[in-house]
Amino acid sequence: MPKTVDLSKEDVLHIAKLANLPISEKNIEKYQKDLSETISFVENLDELDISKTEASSHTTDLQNVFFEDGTKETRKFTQEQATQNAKNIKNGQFVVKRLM
Amino acid sequence: MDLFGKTITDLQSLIKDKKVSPPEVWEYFAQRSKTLNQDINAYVTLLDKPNNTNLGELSGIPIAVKDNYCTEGVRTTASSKVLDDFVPPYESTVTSKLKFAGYELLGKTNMDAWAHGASTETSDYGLTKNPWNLDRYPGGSSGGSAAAVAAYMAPGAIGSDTGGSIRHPSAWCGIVGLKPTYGRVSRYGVIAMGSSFDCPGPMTQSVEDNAMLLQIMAGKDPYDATSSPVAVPDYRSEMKKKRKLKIGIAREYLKGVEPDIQTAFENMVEVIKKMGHEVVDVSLMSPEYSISVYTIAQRAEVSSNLGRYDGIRYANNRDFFGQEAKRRIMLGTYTLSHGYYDAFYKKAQKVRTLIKNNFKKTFEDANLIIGPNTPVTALKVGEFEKYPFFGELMDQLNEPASAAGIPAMSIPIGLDSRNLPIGMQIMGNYFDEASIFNLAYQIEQETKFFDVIKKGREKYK
Repeated sequence: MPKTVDLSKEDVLHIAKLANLPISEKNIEKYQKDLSETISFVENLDELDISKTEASSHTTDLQNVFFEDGTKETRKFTQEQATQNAKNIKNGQFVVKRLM
Repeated sequence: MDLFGKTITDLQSLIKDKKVSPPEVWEYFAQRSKTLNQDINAYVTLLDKPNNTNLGELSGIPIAVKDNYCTEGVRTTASSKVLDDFVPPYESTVTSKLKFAGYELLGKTNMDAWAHGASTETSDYGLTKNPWNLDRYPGGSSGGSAAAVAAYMAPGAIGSDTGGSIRHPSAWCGIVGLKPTYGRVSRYGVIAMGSSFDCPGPMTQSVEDNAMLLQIMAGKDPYDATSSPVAVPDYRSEMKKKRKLKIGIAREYLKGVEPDIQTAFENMVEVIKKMGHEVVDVSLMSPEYSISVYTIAQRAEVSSNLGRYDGIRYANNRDFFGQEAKRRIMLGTYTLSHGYYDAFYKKAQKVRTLIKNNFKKTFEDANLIIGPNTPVTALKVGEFEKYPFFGELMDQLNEPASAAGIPAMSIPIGLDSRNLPIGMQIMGNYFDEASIFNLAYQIEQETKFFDVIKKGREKYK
């Protein structure tokens, strides 16, 4: 397929940084190629006239779905359940990086 | 009692008539799964013993569940090392409903990691092999579920379909697989991939089993705001009605499809005509637009959904993502990033409206639309690399129904010259799974699906 978009090495590094993804130096070129190829492919959407079309965020046209908060406790976790899968716990709480 | 090849419906009768006991059924499938898994690798986790005390319609029936359904107390990985030791503290709505109906969780099936792919080769727990030919892919991403049913390691399985992940492996392994309408089945507790596409669904040996499982799974769930309040009909009685249907064929879907698949499909069209149904030509938008809409919207949703894996509250950190997940997250991040939103995401959502309207209009002229659902039959392991664009083109015929949110089923319609199963897709209007079951059941009665399902399991007798 024709490739019209060419992402640079810097583009890839910037995207990876935004996505908080560690990527190794040796894979950058591959990502450059793959991402450019995909972005070029989806340009076929430009062939369609969508000037008067509304965007769909959803397919079955549901509207205004409400859930009354606090009325159901069946899903409430105990502290132990909530933390059971964490790698780093201190006094029953999640340990996170220092922010300030 | 020889249980080999019995459908879930058969097993239910046998248990009810006390011809076989639930522990015997468990033992039978647990043993088969354990033995066959060494060659096929359909499961990531197998359970040691039955553990459901509820009594119901599915009492004593072991079912395999894709490893992206949260199962309380049972490891759930989505086939990614990120979730290698994740044990969910809660149960998904689908498995809760099955549990309430008395089912036994037999095992968690292998898949493409995070359901990203159409081969199972992106699984961090090894590839699943196609039971028809161990050198070939089972398709994906619900490849483990499809292989488990095809080799009769389980009488039925649960999969999930975002862009073809139930229909594609069902076609390649020669079984019956349904992607219901978006919102027909709750997504609560299914590890999210593309939230506006994800559809849980049943994968079975027969249409009746499929209808029965959907009956249990379907319905509004307060925990999934996108689940639908539309009433759920009685699928089995709808399935058995003697209906003459108007069936549309879109020639756009036959472009680039292998000759053997075309021949089997044309043959099937003749059978359908002989059965007294009316076949009409319809025109649909080229599937190529659906691929683009799907690719943009799904990658965007992936980048957002997988953003939660920070390694703090649960699971391993982001170093553990495989290449395919990283590629998808990065593409989604790019298309959603500042300045690009209108050019990609918004444009895709607009074209999505066109695709929906195109289907809605077409269903004014036809009850159902049929077509092939894969351009080729099961590829040899290693062949995926030859296909550009990460195998997305393998799902080109499945993605339109996903983008529109309509229901679609894959049924077996024959074998190709390499003795591999061929699938046909039946697409229905929104919430009209009943008509799909009706046609599929009539075809099953008429053709026995050309004995594809029987031949597939035969070598694992």
